[in-house]
Amino acid sequence: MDNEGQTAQPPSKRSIAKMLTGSLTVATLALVLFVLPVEYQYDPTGFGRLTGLDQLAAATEWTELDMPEGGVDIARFYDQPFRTDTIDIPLAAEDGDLEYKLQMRQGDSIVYSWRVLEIDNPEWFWSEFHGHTEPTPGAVGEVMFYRRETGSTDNGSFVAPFEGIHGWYLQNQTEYPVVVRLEIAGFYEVIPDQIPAE
Amino acid sequence: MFTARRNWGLALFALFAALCAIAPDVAAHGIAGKDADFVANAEGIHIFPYLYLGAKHMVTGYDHLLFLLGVIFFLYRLSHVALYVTLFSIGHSLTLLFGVIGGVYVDSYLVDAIIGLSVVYKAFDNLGGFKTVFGFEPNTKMAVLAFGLAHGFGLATKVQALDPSQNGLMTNIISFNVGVEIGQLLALSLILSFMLWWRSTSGFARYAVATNIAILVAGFLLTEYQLAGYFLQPGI
Repeated sequence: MDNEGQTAQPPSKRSIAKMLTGSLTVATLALVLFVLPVEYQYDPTGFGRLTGLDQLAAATEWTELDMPEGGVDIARFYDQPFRTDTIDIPLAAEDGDLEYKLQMRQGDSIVYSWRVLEIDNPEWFWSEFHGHTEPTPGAVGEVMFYRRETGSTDNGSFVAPFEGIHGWYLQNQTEYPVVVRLEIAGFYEVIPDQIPAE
Repeated sequence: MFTARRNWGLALFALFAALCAIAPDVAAHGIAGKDADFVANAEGIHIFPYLYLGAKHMVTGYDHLLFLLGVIFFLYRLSHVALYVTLFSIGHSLTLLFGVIGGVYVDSYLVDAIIGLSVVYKAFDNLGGFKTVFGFEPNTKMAVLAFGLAHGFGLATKVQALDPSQNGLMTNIISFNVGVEIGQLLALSLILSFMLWWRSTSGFARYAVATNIAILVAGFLLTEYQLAGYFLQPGI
């Protein structure tokens, strides 16, 4: 078989060597100057930043999705800025208990964390996160329990299902007094004078 | 005979073309966007979608196309074209099927780097480099078969990256494979028509070497691009 598959006029050894080194050099330059900054956000020479090529690296394509009808489960908006509170709630020994309550309208939302600061056994603490309507003498009120559990800490978010009082009933079952630190952020009013003065 | 200036001018032009080709890589060369969503969510047998994806992958896969161009560049007889392309197809079909069905995972950057090297090899061989520099030439048929195996692993990694359902996998991958061959036939007929026309012009002899230098540059760039990805993008 004659030169089937290759050029009939092969270049000299010297030319081939030049072609190889030249090709490799050109390819490497292109890699370092152009490809690396754009494709891998790696810009060792600063050439990508100098030429603005690196902006390509940040470009991402987006598909816009429609918000579901109403969209209220995704985003809620309020007229006033949110508030934050950190409250230390002292509880007496031997089933000392207390309710910490917030005033919220329907759709108001919060995030919260609480924990008992020093407790030997988390089994010795009981809490009930619940809400009820404004008490009206002579009428039957409504109450809803969001979570009832044993344990010395809880974190969560909450959207008030109705207007009323929402909060935590906390019960210390240890033989010593404890302090619960409650942190809240969101849209609510605190009900004043809840923590007994020491 | 071949002026250096003309060769390097063409090489730079090819480099530009190669860069243009890399830019849409994420979108065009891997399987991306809605095609990827389809593969990730499709349960059961989907012959025609996989046929289409295979063909599309081949037609838009410039690394496979560059290699094919290199392989047929100096093949003057159609029977030889058919022989080499068949060897390439056997190679990549074996590893595509074996890789996906057998669950063999190979790093896609390394496989794509080897595919880049296959382009380098073919351009170097076309320039007569093996005979001129080393005094011998590796069996070109075996080389095309072997690099076909590498290209098949490259195809396999693209499919595996999308985690196709086991349900109907065998039929789907065979469909993908058949699609690849259809795409290759389409691309090949275009490349071959172009080569036949180009060889009939007086310019061919002048630019043949320059074009293979350009393919050499593109092959080096592809190889380095994938190696850089291997080292700079761990775990992707």
